[in-house]
Amino acid sequence: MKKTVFIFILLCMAVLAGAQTGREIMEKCNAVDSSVSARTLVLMELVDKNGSVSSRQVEQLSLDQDGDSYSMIIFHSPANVKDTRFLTSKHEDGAKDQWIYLPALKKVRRIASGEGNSSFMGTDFSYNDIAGNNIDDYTYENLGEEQLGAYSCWKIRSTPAAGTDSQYRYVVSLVDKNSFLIMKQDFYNDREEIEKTLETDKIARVQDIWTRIKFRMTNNQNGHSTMLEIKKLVYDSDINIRVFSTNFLETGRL
Amino acid sequence: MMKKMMCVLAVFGLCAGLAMAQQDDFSDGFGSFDEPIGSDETTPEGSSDVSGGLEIQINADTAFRLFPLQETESDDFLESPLEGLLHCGLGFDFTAAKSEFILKLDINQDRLEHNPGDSLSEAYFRLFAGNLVLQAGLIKTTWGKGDSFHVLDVLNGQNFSDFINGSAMDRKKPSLMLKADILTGMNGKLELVFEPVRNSDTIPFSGPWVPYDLERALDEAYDLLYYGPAGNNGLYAACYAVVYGGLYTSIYNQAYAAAIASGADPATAAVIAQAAASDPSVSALAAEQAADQASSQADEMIDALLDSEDQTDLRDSQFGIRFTDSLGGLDLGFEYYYGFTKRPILPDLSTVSSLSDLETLEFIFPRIHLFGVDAAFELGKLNLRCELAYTLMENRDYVDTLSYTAGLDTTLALSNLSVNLQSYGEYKMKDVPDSHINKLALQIADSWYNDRIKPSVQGVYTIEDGDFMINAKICWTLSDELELKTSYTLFEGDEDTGFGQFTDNDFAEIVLSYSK
Repeated sequence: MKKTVFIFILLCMAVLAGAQTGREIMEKCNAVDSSVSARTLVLMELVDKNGSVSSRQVEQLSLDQDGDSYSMIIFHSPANVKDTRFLTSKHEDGAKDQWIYLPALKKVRRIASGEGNSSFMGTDFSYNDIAGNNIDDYTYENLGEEQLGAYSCWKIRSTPAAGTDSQYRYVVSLVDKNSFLIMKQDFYNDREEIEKTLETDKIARVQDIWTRIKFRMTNNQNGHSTMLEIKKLVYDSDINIRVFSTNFLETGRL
Repeated sequence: MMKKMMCVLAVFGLCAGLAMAQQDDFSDGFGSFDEPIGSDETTPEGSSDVSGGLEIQINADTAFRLFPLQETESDDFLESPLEGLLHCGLGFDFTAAKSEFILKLDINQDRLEHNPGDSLSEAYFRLFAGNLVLQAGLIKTTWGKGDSFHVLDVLNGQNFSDFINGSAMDRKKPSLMLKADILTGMNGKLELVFEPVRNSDTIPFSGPWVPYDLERALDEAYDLLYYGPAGNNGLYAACYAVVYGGLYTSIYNQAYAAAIASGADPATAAVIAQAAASDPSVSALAAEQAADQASSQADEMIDALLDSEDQTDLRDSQFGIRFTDSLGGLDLGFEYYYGFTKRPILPDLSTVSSLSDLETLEFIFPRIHLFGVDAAFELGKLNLRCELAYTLMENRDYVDTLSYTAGLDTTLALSNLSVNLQSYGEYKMKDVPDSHINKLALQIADSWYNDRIKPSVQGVYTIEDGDFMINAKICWTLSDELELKTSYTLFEGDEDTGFGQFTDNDFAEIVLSYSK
């Protein structure tokens, strides 16, 4: 009898453990945003270690269609970055196209994925941070649970899969068990130091979708941080797919 | 005439833009953005929706250049020539749902003093009608995928008055054009351009940045003009001969009449008259003065010719067509342009023997057919770009040219270091002097403190001549509105080479820029 109970407990643990693998948790994270499209107006603040703040107004549009994912980021202010636009197309086969429009040159420029690890427009995010990664780009390990303020979280370690070009050796994420939103991420460099930290300050349900409303990426090497706060957001708005074209990138108009 | 056309067009565009702006509803062109952000824990603060209306951009910069190698009466470095430049830009963007009007002014001291009309940087109206985008007005546009060099960017002329400095877009001259973009698929675009008037390069004929080949050509042209092919002909000699001949006859006649009146016989009077007319202190000196005066007049006429505005005759119109698309990670472009060489050819001055001959002269801009293709793609961690152009001269007396630019850029796994290497080649399709030229450009750039400090070094090297230019620069972003640039530019090479001619023009520069 004891043996049967022990085997049952083991099976339950296996089932539970299987349900809570790092990959499954991260898949649930990815599935939180069930929308097909989103349009977001974001306040971006670049804060240096002395506390001086530089603000940008940024708009992001995204769309999933026919297995491809598109994202368009538009800088509206200040004047020195105004009308800079950044387009990412992630295809079903994992291929990724990135272009940037440079208004001073009136020119659309393709960006190689090799450039993805460099800073995006002076922020603490890299191009790859902004473009995001495919779930298969990393392997995941569930490191257990951890409390972060009021949030009970899963602790997941993500390691770049073989062949993935990543500036990070691995990333440790705290995922809120309730919303499955990432509340904190530590990005480790090759020296196993925490190079950057992403912290979520505010979450909310928007159109029934849990959403990070305010979060900040801090570069622990120089104390600089980039805060993003969503000012307006509409999920599943009717976004014309032609917004995600190099033609729109060049003119900003349909 | 050209300036009048510009003004008329600008006013027309302004009116049309304003009219359209009033008719449209000032939305952002891709749907409403008025829904609330949600509830729960969010506390949205107002809206900063993208909307139409009038936007004004202001930028200004003041630059100081020190030329430490230029000769002065003093050896004191602090007394090296210092040049101060002030520039101001104003941009007006009237935006509506399906249209916009762009007006940009680019004002600096030199333009205000010499060519105030050139302060109009762009003025055009743009209409978005589904898959068709129409533009009309004074436009600067970029064709081709090259970085440092271009061989397909042929729609706009360039102003080389200060070609070492400023961006490629700053150097571009706006061109009067009607442009239709037909969008095909997600990224495909067919561009059709009609330019009713010719738009050529502006080449400086004075100041520190006169190109050596032009300077040499002008010297030769002046020699030819004034002294003729054999050194005893030409305008100067002709003027001298006319004046000398006239004076000789006049003095001869007067002296002859006076001798006869005083009782001399005709033979003696002729000897006296010939002696008087041949007195160099009278006739030769006067002829020399007259020839000098004619030369001065010729100089003025040549200057006027050099400063002449772009051709406004509709027979000088141009046409261009370009198709671009992206296919599986490859950006491709195909282009055809029927127009003119942007750089003038000096007319044949050997036949000029009078000022009236000179009045009929014009620079020659040969008609060309340009066929081009360009591509951009990524290979591993490299961005690769290339342009290839074949220039077919309509007048077969001139020589066709094959030109290309190719290059790569990438970022390194160190800081934000980036490397950009470009090459350029131009080959005449006949074995003529200077039948080919090849250049290399290398730029290494970095950015620190989240783009607040951006150091870079750029070098351009001409393979055939061995001359080069190096520019080391640091840009400091002081705030979102203020930027400070410090740089040093040096030139090396033989004095008859493109960069070597400027070896005394090495300069240090500080530029403070404001934009809002």
